[in-house]
Amino acid sequence: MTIPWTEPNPILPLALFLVGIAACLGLGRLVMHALRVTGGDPALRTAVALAAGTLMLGLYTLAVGLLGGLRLLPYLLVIPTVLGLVGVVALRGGGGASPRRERTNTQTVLLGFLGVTGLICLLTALAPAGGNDWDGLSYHLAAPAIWLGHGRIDFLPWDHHSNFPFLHEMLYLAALAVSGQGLAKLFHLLAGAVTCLTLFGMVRPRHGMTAGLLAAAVFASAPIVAWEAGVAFSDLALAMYLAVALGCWLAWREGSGDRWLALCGIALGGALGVKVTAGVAAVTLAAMTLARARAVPSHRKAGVGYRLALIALPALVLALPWYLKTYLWTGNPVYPFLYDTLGGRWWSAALARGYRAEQLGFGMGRSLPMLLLAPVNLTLLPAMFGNLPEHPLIYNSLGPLFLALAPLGLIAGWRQPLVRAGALVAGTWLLAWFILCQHLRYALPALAPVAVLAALGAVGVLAARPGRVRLTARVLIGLALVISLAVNVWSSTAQVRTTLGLVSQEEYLAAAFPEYPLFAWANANLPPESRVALVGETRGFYLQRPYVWADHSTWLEVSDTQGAQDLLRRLHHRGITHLLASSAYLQSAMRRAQAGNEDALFEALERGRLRVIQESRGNALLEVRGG
Amino acid sequence: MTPERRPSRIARLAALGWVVLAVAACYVAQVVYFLGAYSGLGGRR
Repeated sequence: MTIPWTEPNPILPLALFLVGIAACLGLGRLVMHALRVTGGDPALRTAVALAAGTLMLGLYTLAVGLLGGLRLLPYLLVIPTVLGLVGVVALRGGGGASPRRERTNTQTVLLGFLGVTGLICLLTALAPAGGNDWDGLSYHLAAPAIWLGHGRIDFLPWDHHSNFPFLHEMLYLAALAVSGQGLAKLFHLLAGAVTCLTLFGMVRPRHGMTAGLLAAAVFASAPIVAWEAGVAFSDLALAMYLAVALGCWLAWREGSGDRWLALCGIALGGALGVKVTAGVAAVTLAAMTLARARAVPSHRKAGVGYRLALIALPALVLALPWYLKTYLWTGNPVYPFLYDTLGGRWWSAALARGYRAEQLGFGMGRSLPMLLLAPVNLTLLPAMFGNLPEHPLIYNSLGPLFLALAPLGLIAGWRQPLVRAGALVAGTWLLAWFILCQHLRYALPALAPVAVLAALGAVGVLAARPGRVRLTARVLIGLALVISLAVNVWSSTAQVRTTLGLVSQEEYLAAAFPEYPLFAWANANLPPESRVALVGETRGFYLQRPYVWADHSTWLEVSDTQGAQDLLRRLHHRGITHLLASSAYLQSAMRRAQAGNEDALFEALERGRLRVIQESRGNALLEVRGG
Repeated sequence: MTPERRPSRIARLAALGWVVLAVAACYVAQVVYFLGAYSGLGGRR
């Protein structure tokens, strides 16, 4: 491979992706067969199986990693793959067949929208991760790559993200082991696709095919969803597990049997393995279970406690490995959060304050009017809820259909369990989002149940009389889908051209990740025993030398030093041979120096203790000299 | 809007009006932001 961790063409990752889907589906069907789950819409059953299968594969990879077997991972993956393929061949999906009806024009259009959107996202995902896949290059892909180099999953004291629950990152790890980042990113696309399938499977049996397709299409129409489907983040994985949990809960609520409640618990275990904030949805669904079990007399025969245990125990057991590992390594199961109460290694009160300040900086404040206006603000001013204000249409955007249609669905369908449950799960999630951190992508999991409400609202206006109302609604919804598609095409052109071979991967990366040339130079020229500290930069995925982050933990701090001597002492203490400093960091240091303030980095440069050995676009690679 | 209870004409028109308003406002607001009219509010880094 010319570019680290990157397949030279899309054929291998696509082929392995199909094998991976089949394996996950089969593993999930084995789980559902073991639980003797019956009933449910076929699409929902397929979605549940896929989610359960990815969960099993993720936990398997975690176990192999913790036992130090990552060098054998490509071979060890044969076991779950074969098991999964057996499951696909031997077990049918179950749930009965839906009656076949002739497809309407609306359904054809919606299927076409979903298909084209999925294809664009697939071609985008297969291109190398660019600079805007910030978190992927920093830890979602980078930490698994480091662990593969180590041969095991071990403690990275300088990267607090690596101590988060990392269920979906285990799939990225498996993908990097057998193929590369293209396959890894396809697993995030899969999570988005399974979310759409879940929404379809939730809505179709209750409101028909068109409503089901609308729910999936509204979710997929959000530019933030389409963007996430092409990068290696984990928000779509969280949306998938929470949507599946909701679908399973509804199946239980409507009489498909207690085993669906256990499936809900399993899905919540997956969600808690992606992010600790899934606890909000877990508590909401547990409370809903308690209320339902107490309200309906027939349920009292088996006991309210039994039903709570069905949902809680699988969730806790499946989530436990992540929080136990983090507790054993850091002293804090939710590290680095709740630092004031729970503490944690290589963290500090100052870092905790800075982290919280950054989270509080997103959004438009926490007053009551802003809470009430949040859905409007998110739709009209999405750039206020993200990092990239210059591209509001692309990265930070929901599109109009949630705001336009969900209130109608909520008002019209409030008596329906689907609507109430969806509104409760979405509402509590958004309330927590409002309080904790108002970044748009953190609201993404709530978009799934809101898409259900929007679909019901759409069905209503599309069927309303007179014909002028129907036509106007059709034009507006169609316009929103067309614009969504256009935004997706426009923002993905470079990636699609790269995947199709019209542009080389190197040429694409040079434009999409301006820092890449410096990483490539380092890979080609630094001695193998080098150890690099990234300063003002975290996107180290493409660097093929051991590296650490500076200033993101107390393990290595270079910005808060007592002069050049102190800086060098800290670097030597950690065995750092080189610094890779971002242009932003260097410009900030230069401004301090020009203002007459002391800057340890520039002082060290002046004394010859640091030497610039390569520069690229304002970023610099410096050699640490002397002992 | 379930078949069992047909909403009134006013309700139907209000629903459509809301859809028109929401869709239009969404795109107008983002185009205006993109053209810099909201730069005074301050974006993120």
